[in-house]
Amino acid sequence: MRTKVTKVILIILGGLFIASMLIMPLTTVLVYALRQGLTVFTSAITDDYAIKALQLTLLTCCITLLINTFFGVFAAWTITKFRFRGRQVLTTLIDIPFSISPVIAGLVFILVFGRIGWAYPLVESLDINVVFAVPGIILATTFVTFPFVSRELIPVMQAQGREEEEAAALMGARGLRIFRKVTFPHIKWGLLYGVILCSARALGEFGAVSVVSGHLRGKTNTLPLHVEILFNEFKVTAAFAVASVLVVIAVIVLILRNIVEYRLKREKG
Amino acid sequence: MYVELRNLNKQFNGFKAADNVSFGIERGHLAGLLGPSGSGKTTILRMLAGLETPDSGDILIDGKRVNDIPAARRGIGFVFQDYALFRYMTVFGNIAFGLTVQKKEKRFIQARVTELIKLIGLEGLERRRPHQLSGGQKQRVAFARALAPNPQLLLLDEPFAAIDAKVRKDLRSWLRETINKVGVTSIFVTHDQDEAVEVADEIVITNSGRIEQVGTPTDIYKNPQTPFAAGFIGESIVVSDYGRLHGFQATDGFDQAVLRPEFVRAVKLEKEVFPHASQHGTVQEVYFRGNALELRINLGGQVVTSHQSLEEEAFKVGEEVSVLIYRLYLLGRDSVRLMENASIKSDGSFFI
Amino acid sequence: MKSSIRRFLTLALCTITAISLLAGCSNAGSTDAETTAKTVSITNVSYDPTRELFEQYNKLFADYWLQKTGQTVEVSQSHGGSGSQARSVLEGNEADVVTLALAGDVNMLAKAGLIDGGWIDEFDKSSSPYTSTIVFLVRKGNPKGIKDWDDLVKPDIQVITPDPKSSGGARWNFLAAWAYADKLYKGDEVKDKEFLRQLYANVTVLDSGARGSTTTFVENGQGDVLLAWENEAFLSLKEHPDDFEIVIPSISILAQPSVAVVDANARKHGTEDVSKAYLEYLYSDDAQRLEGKNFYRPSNPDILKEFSDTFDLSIELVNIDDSFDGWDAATAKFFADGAIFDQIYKK
Repeated sequence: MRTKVTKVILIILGGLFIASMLIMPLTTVLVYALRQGLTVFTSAITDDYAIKALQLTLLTCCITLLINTFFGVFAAWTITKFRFRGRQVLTTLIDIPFSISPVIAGLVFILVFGRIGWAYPLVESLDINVVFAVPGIILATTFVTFPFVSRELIPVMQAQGREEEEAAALMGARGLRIFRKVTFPHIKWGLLYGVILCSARALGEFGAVSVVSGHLRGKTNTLPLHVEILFNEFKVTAAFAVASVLVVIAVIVLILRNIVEYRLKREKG
Repeated sequence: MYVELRNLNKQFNGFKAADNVSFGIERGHLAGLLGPSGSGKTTILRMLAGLETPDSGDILIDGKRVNDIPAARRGIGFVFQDYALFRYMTVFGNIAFGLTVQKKEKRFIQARVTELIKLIGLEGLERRRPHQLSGGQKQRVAFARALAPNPQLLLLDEPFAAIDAKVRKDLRSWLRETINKVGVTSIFVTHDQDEAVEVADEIVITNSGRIEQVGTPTDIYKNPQTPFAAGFIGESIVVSDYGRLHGFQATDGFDQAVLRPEFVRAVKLEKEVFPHASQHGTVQEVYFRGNALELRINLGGQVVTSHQSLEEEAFKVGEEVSVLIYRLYLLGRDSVRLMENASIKSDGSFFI
Repeated sequence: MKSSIRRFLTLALCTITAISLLAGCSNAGSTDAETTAKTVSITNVSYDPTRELFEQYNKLFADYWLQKTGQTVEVSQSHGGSGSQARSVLEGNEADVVTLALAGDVNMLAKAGLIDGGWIDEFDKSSSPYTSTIVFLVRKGNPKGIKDWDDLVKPDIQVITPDPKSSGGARWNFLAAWAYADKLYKGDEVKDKEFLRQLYANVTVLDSGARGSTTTFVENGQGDVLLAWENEAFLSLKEHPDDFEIVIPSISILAQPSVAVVDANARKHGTEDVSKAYLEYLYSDDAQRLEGKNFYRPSNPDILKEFSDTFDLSIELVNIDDSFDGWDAATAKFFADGAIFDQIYKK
């Protein structure tokens, strides 16, 4: 009897928490976005700057995903399948973006590639703009989301152990074949999960991007930055309208994540 | 010698896994590496396979030094302790893997894999995935997978460790038969001496990275050459004050002795045959062992073990009995000597 | 089935990437301006409150330039606290022109070699096409009865003002407050410092830019009084006519936002002509009236008179040169590391 009461109380508490921390803000965004009617809403999200911001956000997300998936798989593979000195150090290094404030991450890039940075002459000679331009935003976002893929993969690969790959190597299989036939089928869903987490984070990243962005409207503003600008210009409804786009994307990512999680569990069981 | 190891040494972080290991295996033989956990037997196996590199020493297969040949090109089939089957491939795919890597023709692969599946008795299960198989079936697939590319040496790492006791016995004999049929030189690692004794043509006993003895099971059983071998094979009790046992004299250089239950015969007092050679003792415990009784008898402070057939009248706890010890192994520092019960000979009576 | 899903996802991902890349490339382009015969783009790095002003001005200038030269000009805007914006240009933000809150920030760029010396005389009125001042914005009905600077140091008053380290407007706020204290205490700097310390002790939120502070006060409902640019205060009133009032203090400062062409960048992009013209046009009658409409005081005295209903032209205003020996001296005395602001703001 007592345990049942406890269970109910815990469920209610949990529900209240989710409702107040998650559902309420999300619904508030949508309500405020539509407060002044559908026309204001649509004009806000179809506004030139908003669309450019959306494009930039999506572009950044895609490129970040590609880079992080590639290197994340590489890093996880190296760490779990090989014994070498400095393995622990590499694992810790990968986790650095989690412990650094995103603002610091952005600052680091400014200090390296900005006019006062040591890499500036090199960058200048190649006539590329890194900070205060799109490459800087991509770099900052990549840095901040880097651990997601490898952190998802490392436990999966570690649980898999090296034996299957050893067996395959023993029979003469080369690296690529081992990866295709033995490793990849195993990490498929873990990889997808990591990719989804990475993209969710990349879409919403604010701090690091804000520092390196330069806030050039139409050029180096991502969607979250654009929301801030709208809010600061007394265009509250428009800000919420654009924010609701982010909310929709977030919900889609959430659904995808649940599907993948479900498939993951099914594979394991 | 088809497979030869010469002076192999291997250290892991200060732990000596292989200490000057040397031995050889004849072609076509099935050899067992037997030893307690951590004795280095798996390390030796992995060095043979090329999964580990020795710090020093030579490995020769068919007269050729293979130290510098990568694992995949040594012509070795390896069966892992927990099978390491490719869980995302079918049984067929698993067995065919080695051949696919070698880029053999599809028809050839089809024929060979089918042949092997028949050999291991798993017809009809080709399309199954490993997780749909029982432990014994998985083991057989792992075996077939290792055999498919026709290796010159088959290595098995504790092949039956993960299998139920009942299935284990059947699988053991099946493995023995099949390896004999195929004729491939094989070495397997185990810590179970019953298994080694039953399956292997010859046994290599390992202890703390060193080789204690190499020989046929009978050899090692009857003539253990080191204290460890004497104590490891068969059931044994170590006796420190063996001079106190009737018929045995304390000898210099041999501080301890090993007694096996087969050397100890307990009879009812009224049935005593060699009064001088025997000793009186009290039955401490009686255990039922399925096919015999095990007796713990207190002989003047020393506890010995003996077996009694179920056909005989069972002893009771606390009963006084007459114990005759036929022989024991004296353990010196590095050697073992067999010592017979002197009083039996001098009695000149008939043996039972 | 599984592999076909994977194939689909890969295809989808590639498509999205391709589209985004194309879209990104064609629009984001490079921040190097392409000066073709037909179009030119320049970047204007400005301070926080000027968003609405430049949104309108850029259209005005584009029309003018198209008519004059047949060239289409695109202006990219960036806004933020004046100090922060100046720093970002220093760090590589390739602005063609800067329209900042005070000459001191523009000087920083000149010292770094990005702007040629003597920039302040390149345009009229010390390169200040419009001026402003500092006023108080309070809630409708002025419930806390705030009339002047000395009300701000009362114990239960919550003040909103931005951070002088990053915001230009904040520095004008600080100097205006200092001017009042200095007059009140007849130059006793110890008492001046104490006055400022009490004032900043009452600050509940220190944003990084003037617009941030306005948002905090207006949208988030924080604080009793906002120390604001005059134009910000008017803009807030325009957006929320029933919620606020402007209180003009007894003494304030003539805030002169400065504009300059960032010569190094303009040369690199080949945009010197259009950049100079861009800033020049701020002095044209049309532009001056636009500035007045946006609540900036036009530097052209005739046009300023046209807005005498809007602006209180009789405020006592000190200015940076006479009362503070110019920006270099003021920065060193008040805003450098360890200087007076740091000393009084130690919490």
